[in-house]
Amino acid sequence: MDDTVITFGRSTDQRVQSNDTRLQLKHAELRATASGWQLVCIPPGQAVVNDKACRDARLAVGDVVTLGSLRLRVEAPTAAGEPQLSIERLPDTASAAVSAGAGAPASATAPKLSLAELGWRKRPWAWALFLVTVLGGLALPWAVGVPSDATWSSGPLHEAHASLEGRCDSCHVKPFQRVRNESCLDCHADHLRRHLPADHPATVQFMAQRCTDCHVEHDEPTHLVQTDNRVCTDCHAEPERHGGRPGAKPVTDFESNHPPFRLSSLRSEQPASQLKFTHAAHLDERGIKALSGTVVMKCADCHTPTEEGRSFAPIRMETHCASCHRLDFDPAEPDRTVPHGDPTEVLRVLSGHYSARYLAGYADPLAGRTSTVLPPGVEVAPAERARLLGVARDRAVRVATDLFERRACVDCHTVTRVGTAAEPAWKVMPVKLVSNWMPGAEFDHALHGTSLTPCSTCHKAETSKQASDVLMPPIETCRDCHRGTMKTACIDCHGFHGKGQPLWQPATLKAVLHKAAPP
Amino acid sequence: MHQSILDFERRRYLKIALALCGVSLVAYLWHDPRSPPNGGTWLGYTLGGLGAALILWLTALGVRKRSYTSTLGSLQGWVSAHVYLGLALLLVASLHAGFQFGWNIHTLCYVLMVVVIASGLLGIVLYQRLPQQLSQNRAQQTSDQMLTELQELDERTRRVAANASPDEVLAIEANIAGTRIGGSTVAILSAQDRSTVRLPDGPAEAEANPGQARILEWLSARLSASDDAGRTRTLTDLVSLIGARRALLRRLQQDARLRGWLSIWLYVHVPVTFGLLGSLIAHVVSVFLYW
Amino acid sequence: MSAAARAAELGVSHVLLEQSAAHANTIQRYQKGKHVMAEPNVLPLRSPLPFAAGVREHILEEWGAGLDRLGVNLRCQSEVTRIEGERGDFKLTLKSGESLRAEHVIFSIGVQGNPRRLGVPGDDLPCVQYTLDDPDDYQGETIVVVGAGDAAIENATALARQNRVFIVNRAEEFARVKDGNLSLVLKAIEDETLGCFYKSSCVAITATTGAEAPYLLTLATPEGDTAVPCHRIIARIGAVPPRKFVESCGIRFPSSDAAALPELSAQYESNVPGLYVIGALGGYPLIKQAMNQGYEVVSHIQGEAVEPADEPLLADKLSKLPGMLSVTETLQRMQQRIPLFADVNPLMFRELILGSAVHCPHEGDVVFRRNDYTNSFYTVLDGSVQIEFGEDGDSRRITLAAGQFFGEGSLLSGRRRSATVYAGAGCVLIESPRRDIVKLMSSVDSVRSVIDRLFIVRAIQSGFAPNTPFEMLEPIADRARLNRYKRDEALFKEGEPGDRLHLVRSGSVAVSRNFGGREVTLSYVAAGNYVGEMGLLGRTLRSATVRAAVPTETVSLDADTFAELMAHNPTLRSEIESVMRKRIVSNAQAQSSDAGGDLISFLMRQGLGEATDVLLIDESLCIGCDNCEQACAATHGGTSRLDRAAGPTFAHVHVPTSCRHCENPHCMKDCPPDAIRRAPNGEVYIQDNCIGCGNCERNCPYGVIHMASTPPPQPSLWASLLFGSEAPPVESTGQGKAPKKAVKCDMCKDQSGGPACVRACPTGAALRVSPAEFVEFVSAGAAER
Repeated sequence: MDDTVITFGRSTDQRVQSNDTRLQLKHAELRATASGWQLVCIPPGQAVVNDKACRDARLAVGDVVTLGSLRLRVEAPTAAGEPQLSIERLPDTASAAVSAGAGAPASATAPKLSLAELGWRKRPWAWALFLVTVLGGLALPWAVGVPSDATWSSGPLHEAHASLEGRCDSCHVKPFQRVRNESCLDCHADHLRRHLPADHPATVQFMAQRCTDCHVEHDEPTHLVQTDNRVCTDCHAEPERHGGRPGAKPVTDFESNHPPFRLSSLRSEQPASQLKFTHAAHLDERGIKALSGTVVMKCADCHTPTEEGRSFAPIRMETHCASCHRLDFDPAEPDRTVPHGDPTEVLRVLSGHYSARYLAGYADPLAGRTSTVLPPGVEVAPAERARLLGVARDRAVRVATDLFERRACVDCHTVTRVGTAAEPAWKVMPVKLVSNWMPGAEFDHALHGTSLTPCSTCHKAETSKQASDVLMPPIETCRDCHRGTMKTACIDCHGFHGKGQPLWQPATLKAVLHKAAPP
Repeated sequence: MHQSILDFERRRYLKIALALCGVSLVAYLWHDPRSPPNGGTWLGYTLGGLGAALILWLTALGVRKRSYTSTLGSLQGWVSAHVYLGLALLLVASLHAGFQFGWNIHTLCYVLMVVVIASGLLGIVLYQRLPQQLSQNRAQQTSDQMLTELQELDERTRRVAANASPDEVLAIEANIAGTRIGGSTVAILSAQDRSTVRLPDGPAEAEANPGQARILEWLSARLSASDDAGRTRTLTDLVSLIGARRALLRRLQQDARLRGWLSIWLYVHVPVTFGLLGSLIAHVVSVFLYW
Repeated sequence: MSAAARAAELGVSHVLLEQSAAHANTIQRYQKGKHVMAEPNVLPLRSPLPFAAGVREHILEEWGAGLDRLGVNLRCQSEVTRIEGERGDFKLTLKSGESLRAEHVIFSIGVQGNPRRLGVPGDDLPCVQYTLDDPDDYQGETIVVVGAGDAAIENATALARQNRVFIVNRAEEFARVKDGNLSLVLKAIEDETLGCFYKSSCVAITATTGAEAPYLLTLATPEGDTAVPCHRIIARIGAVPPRKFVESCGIRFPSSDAAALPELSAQYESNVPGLYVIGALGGYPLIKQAMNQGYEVVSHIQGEAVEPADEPLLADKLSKLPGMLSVTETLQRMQQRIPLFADVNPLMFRELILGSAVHCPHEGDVVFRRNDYTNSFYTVLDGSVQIEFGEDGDSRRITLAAGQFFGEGSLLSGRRRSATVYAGAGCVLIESPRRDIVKLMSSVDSVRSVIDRLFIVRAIQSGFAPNTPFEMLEPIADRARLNRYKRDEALFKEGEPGDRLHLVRSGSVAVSRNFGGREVTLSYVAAGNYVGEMGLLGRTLRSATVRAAVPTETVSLDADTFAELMAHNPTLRSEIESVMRKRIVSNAQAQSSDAGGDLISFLMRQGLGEATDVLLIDESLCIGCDNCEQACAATHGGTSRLDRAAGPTFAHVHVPTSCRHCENPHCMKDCPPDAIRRAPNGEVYIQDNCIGCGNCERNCPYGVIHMASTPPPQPSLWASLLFGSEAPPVESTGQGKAPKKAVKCDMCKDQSGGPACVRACPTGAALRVSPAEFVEFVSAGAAER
């Protein structure tokens, strides 16, 4: 630069012209003097020299002068000693912002006042979320099983199936195919029985049924067994319409519409227990005579629950009756008893007993001798021996007859004499006790708290005079409690996969289906 | 003459939505399946299908909004229906699920749906309240016009400042340079002014200057100290100009705030909707994949 | 130019005098790269010079080439100041003083006239210019703009962005400029971005060698002469309309109306034999027409019998008519038949027919229906028509015989048709577009008076005296007065004695009342209705002030005439009383809510007074999604015709920048190709034959028309929806761009389902309102608030 004066300003005649309105038309001058640059501002113009505002300044090398959007920097003089100056135009923030304001593309300096300007976008996020959900939720689990397909499980499995948790393919074998019975039978085939005998006319309609129709999994609260009566009543409300046997009684629910209990075991013939027994006598609260004096008996004395408490242990003479009904036969030896059971055995034991007695020289008027004990080493003469044995035999027969026909057995059993007078024998009618009067339903004594509720609530034993009395309660007795709040589902008493029915196996299924296929 | 989306056509779609809710609720209560209510019963499938159809239709608003030549009802009608049926969807879907939830894709789908509906609800509220404030605050200016006015104001301030003393010029420049409005989501939505100013005789680091408070205080101090008439006039002008600037800045911030709120909910509503679509697909397919 | 070319072609001695520096001054003045259209397409071009639609530069170049090829004797920079003499011996005096002699003179100087020159020493220096193409062409210069009009201000402020600009104003303020420009210039001056010399005028311009600028402009200012160094001087001090000059040559104009055209023969010969007038001055604004005429005139002078270029077109039009005659004969017959056109000069009539259509409807056909929005003008050439007034219920018909005309009502008021017209037996109709008839009315007084008179009669008849026979009304009509009011001018004021009843013929009026010194607008009365009946019936004082909401014409009857009318029909009084009752009620309602009144006046200020349909946005519902604009763009080839954000707001009612579809559209006023039309339902729309001249843009007081080139096609819906793809931005003006045409709201007349903007509004904030609904709208709004 050889000029001695450089003028700055907005007007066009200025050496350095800028449209920055912060400058005056004629704003400032730079004079090159021998001793460097001299800055002179024309009032009201002013400059900022090294961040200090001023009107006049002598500039040294390296000084920076700011005039609006112009920045001047004093450079080291040239070799020829001419002062040098570098001029740069700063981006004009004002006009930039104005242009931004005027709707032009926003410049860096314009304030960002909308979310869009801050880079908020909808589309990328939309895509991202969409892909994440589709891939993570469906594609990846399906294709490569990552993350596990357990995320598709709509609810927990029943604890019975806990072992299947996370092994979806054990039931869901084929994609888009509903769970098939085979999958269930894989495990359950060997004990799962059908509802009806194969020849039952209604069997066919069970064939179409799917296990999962009733046994719904992934449901909350978890449950495997349908407790809803409609499972049964759908058919049993009108059994005949659904191929039930003619005369089958309709059932809709326990409280209001359920046929009275039937002793299904009586269906064939009335089995006499062949026992002389009355609950009334035993449960007489005045007590009954026993060796140990008068005893007041309780049901539990004879009916002892099985360990799981559902039902009761069978009644045994030895454990339950013998304490009173003793089988002794010789007042002389009250502790000796005959075995309970086979009559011939009784006779054998008796004669054995007496023979031994007599041969030992037992003094007995019946034997017709006075001298009793033989001296040691003295053998009974053979004739005498035969006589004694005969005597013993007679005695045994007399005692047995007394036991069977007068004293012990006949108390409870019906005994008939068979055989000759010489060779007497007796026949005792075998005792038949019914362990379960109603096998069609299951009753759990434990649930009903035998300990709390007296047996008499259901079983009218005190008044039972006949051994043939069946002490099962009528349905009303159950209903007294089981109505209103204490509802009863069919399944509570009746099993679906009935006992005694054929196994539910694909093979048998097919067989049945073929047999029962409608013409 | 004008009617808002809520009472469009005498609330036709509100009635329809209520009817829909009523029907599904009655059906739900009347229908008592053998197992606990879930999506697997016939009613479950029905409600599920209905819900899915609703979701697809609700999403279709985005398409309808842009198919300008469509004569398929007025867009306002669509939006009105979108609002009411969208709310009804909440019930339909809940009944479909039988209120069974868990850590699985199905519940994720439900949750996303709830998020979408909730954000939509927020949107309705905002749309009902903000526009009036917006138009009042705008005072017949567009946002761009306000910005331009701000720039012009600054230009004028600079010119006036030219007659003031050097460091006052510096102060004015610093004030303009230090103006920070908007710039961050929080700042926009809370309309906070993070302006600073570095005063020539002040501390080295810039001082907070919200609402031009600091600079005004500084200038008025100068003003009260001034004894020269011309100088007093200049300073008075400056103070009044900065005052105007303060007002304008506040309006700008309010404008930004309102517009921000008017738009922000959509940044949740729309993307999550697509998340919902994705999970809906996953839900439906997976349910039948493992039937 | 075409004439000269033809002459050169025929080898006739000729000279083409061009005042400016180059040929085709008008087109030279067009902005760079402007696309010039060649309307009307139907018209064949007959000229030695080529002309086809294209870019300005290209056309000029072709013409230049053509002129050279034909050896046209072109003299530039030679402005004619005087012409005297008669056929065979004309003397033309040039500005330079020298004079020419000629046998025939052809005027083709257009109507823009010459920019008024500075008229000071040195105004011929190259630094002086009278137009400004592109302000951005100049940077860092010192420029002086002389003048205080809109043009001057617009140039000055535009230039001031990049230059140092002074504006020279002869007065001490900027009078008669648009408000926008006024505030613009005052602000610029206050901001010192623009220097201004008030009460100053130019004295001289000299070239200097000064360091500052090459030229020195001396100004006479109140402070004495000052010299302003400058690079450039732009003089925008208006133009001298050519009419004075033309009249000085002896050419007569039929009427004093500014828009009047000189009387011309069928050969474009003026009343001065040997003086021919062609082009815009002759009433033919389009380039092609003018070129054809130049050709025809020269040929005519050479004694060739040329049939005008439009002959085949006319022949085609008239072919429908029974009894084939030559075009000229037919036209003569017509003029004889129709008294209205009796003393129209043949050329104008020819032009009229060229613009018009000839219909031969069958008996009973509907010509137009009541409440149609058409505004064309019909004359019955043969047969008769039945006009059916009133509703279907009590309709009564009157019959018009051949020679009469109808349709003037809508023509003048811009309102819907007031009656249904059925064709009678053997009926032949001429339908003339509004524009041509208006042109005719402005140039031929007789036509105007006849139409005006008939309008009054019919207005009275349909308004007050349905059963009174026509001729009985004519005397009354003579006593009726036709009044014109400027915007905001009062028809009558509250408290004045009520002596006249006004029938609003065009425009509309606002009824206001004074409450505590403040005028509150009560209601607004549209064209076709009457005001002032309150005062008149009881002869009381005026109960309200009535002002013109827009430039308005009314027909007024004084009390006696009115009394006479009522004598004629006894029912009239009760009818008017019922109208009056309604009005009192509605006024009372409006009165009860100031907001309502204020809203009315606000909307009036936004030009709803002359609107037929306007877009209103309820800002309490508008969420600013701009879906309306996008919908508009999407349904109109990518350019939105409305600007939502822009525009004033009052009480939550926002009037966006969008077409009001005025009753008498300003945009229609000056459209060379007559591309702006009104559809039967009232939509004002622009046809494709727009030539992009930008007149409508300038004429629209609401700034709702803008020039746009068709943008690239929009991406498909799904593309934009899924991947956010957008159309590339529309490029702004400049060379080689697609031709720019005027675009404006067409109310989606081609869209099934109505305006897209309203249909696309998600919140129901956008609403279109017609004057009928809009009072209801206001009262509804008032009820809300």
